[in-house]
Amino acid sequence: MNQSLSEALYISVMEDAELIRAVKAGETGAFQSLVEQYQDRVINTCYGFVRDREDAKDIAQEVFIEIYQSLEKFREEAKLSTWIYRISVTKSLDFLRRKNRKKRMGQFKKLFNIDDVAERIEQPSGNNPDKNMEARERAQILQQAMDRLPENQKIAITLSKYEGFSNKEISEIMNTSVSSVESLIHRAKVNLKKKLYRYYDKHL
Amino acid sequence: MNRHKMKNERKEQIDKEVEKTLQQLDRFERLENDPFFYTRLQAQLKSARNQHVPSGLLSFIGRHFRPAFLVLLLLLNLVSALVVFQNRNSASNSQTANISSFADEYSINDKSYDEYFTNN
Repeated sequence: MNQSLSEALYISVMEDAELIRAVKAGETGAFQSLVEQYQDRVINTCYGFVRDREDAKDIAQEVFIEIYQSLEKFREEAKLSTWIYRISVTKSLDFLRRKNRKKRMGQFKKLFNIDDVAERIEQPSGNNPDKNMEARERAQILQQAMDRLPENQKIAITLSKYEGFSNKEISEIMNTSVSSVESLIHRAKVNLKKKLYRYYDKHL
Repeated sequence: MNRHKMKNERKEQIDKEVEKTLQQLDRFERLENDPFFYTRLQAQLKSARNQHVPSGLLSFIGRHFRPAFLVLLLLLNLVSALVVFQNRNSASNSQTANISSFADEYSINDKSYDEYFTNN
């Protein structure tokens, strides 16, 4: 028991390169250590995009399965963390695209009166952790505006604001320069302001 | 004047709402740690491993047999084009042979008829 505890402690302080080598070699506890090291940030990164805790956890599971299956091919050209967050962003965006496609299909079916019971059931709003009703409403309005941003602006502002990544980290994840990230975040804020202004102009 | 004031007040009100909503960006509530995350992941990995087709074999087939398959497809196309072309040639040859044997049988090729018609 003591031995496995010290083994876990040893693994937990491993450097990325060593961790990758250990997982590739199939060492006991190495993959678990990798998951434990990154799970919190991966789940929250996904949550920043999809805004539903169960969906975020499911996507995070997919992320780690992908990591497990393709770690052999990882060439270490990027940092392990960058690679992991890049997979998280890609998986989250794929999920949103699938969801939007489903939504469009539902609207199409509705247009032609093709009834689908599953489409009629609405998502419970209790999934959002905000307790305050007004804050929840504002968060929903903001999310709708965020969803209408161009994809790269959305990625940049989500990683920056929700997950607190630095501009340098974001530039590595998005494979672009720091100045591009700064510009993307600035444009995202300007666009958000415009969209929200139009929204409140209509609904106030 | 009054209208202008009202317009400004409305703009201010909208700006305030926009600012309040934008503040939500800084109030992102993080999800708490999930103690069962790794256990669920282990189960998923196990089922993924059971369903997993050996990817090494698939990629080997993909890499080595795709060009060979393309060449084979090209060869098949060439052979079938040749067969069709040859059939067409032999069909037209046999058609010509049939016509000439028919002409011979009824002596249509006999030039004396031509002479007869041109003289009369």
